[in-house]
Amino acid sequence: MKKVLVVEDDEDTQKIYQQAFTQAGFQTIPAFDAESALPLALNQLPDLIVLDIMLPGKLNGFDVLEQIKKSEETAKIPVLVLTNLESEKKVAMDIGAADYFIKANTSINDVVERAKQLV
Amino acid sequence: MDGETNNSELEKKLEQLRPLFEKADTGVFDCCVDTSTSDPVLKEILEGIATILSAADKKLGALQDSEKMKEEFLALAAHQLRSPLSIMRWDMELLSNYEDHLPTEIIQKIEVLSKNNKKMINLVNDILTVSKINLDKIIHHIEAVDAKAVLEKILQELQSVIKAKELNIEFLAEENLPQVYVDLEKLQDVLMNLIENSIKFTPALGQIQVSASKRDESVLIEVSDSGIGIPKDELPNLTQKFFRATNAVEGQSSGTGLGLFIAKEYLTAWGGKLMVESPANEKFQEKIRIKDLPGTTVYVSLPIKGGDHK
Repeated sequence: MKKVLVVEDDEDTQKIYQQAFTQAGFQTIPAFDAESALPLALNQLPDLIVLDIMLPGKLNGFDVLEQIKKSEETAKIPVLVLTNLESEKKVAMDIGAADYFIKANTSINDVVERAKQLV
Repeated sequence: MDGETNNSELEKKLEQLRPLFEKADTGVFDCCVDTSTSDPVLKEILEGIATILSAADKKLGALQDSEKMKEEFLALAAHQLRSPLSIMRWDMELLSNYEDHLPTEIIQKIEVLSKNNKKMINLVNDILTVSKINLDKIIHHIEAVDAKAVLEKILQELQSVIKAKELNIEFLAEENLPQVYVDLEKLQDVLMNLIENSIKFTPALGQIQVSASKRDESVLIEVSDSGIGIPKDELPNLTQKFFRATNAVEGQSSGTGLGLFIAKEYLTAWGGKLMVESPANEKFQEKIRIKDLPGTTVYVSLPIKGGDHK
């Protein structure tokens, strides 16, 4: 079963990802902040990471993305950035995101479809 | 004579002040008034003018600051609204995935909720874009774009709506159209908005015509419809923020009145143009148009050379 690490601080949104990805045959691993996401990425080596940008704590999604792309073990894991922040697409793509979506403007079904393509 | 001013000194002072007055008339308050004179009365007048100009300048600065704060607050509020709206959207989409197991009444309710959720998201998106325009924070990524391909993709996406209203859509594009230099994502938004407008304001079984052709140093895109049109005297207001034509409001169609404002801002930044006619004006009539449609025609001209636009 393919594993997806979901880095998202909002509980309702976590539940949506969990339901949508489970239905599509993924196993989901939730992380509610950057600090817990990084060790999970290293230990679990997921097939895909879904990443929010605004996260509680000192590190944000860009920091997570940078760390993931820097570390040899995790560099190849595709990262889907999903946020409601605009104008940050170029930054995320330059760091190495596989794709970038504005949550409010994207269907959850399209997110799952894109995830399937990437793993 | 001490303390008395002759006419030539007065005239000289007035000559110095005139440019300041002209600037003040355009809303720029230059406070550098030369108050040196041997006449105490004239000195007081000059100092008074200096005080007024400086006070006006301060007021203007405060007003601009508060305007900027208002825009920034609006952008923040709109952004914060997106999170709950996206949660609602996604949960409703997940609910619709169970359609086969839900009673019809529930499915209908979900459809109403989804439609209204989409309206709110569109409004929030438009407000965010306008506040970014006002704060001068729009970044344009100019690249060579195939306008015909963009139009084809949009018409494909709108297929189901077009079918539902049984509209007759004709799409004509000249052979070998040159590429245009614009921001691809923003062009998609602009053209999508224009065609959606045509669909919205054209009654069922009506006609819409979309064409693309080369014209001088640009590609001209024309979107015509047989819809309700726009009253002639309202045409000049069309690209103003929040403006909606009276017949659009009376028809109770929804809309933010921001779409054309945004379109015009983008096109101007790329060195392009937006023109609206209702009914179609012969002056702009395109050689490849098949027939005149009685509703609204929007012309978008897109530059075929990359310039130094911001």
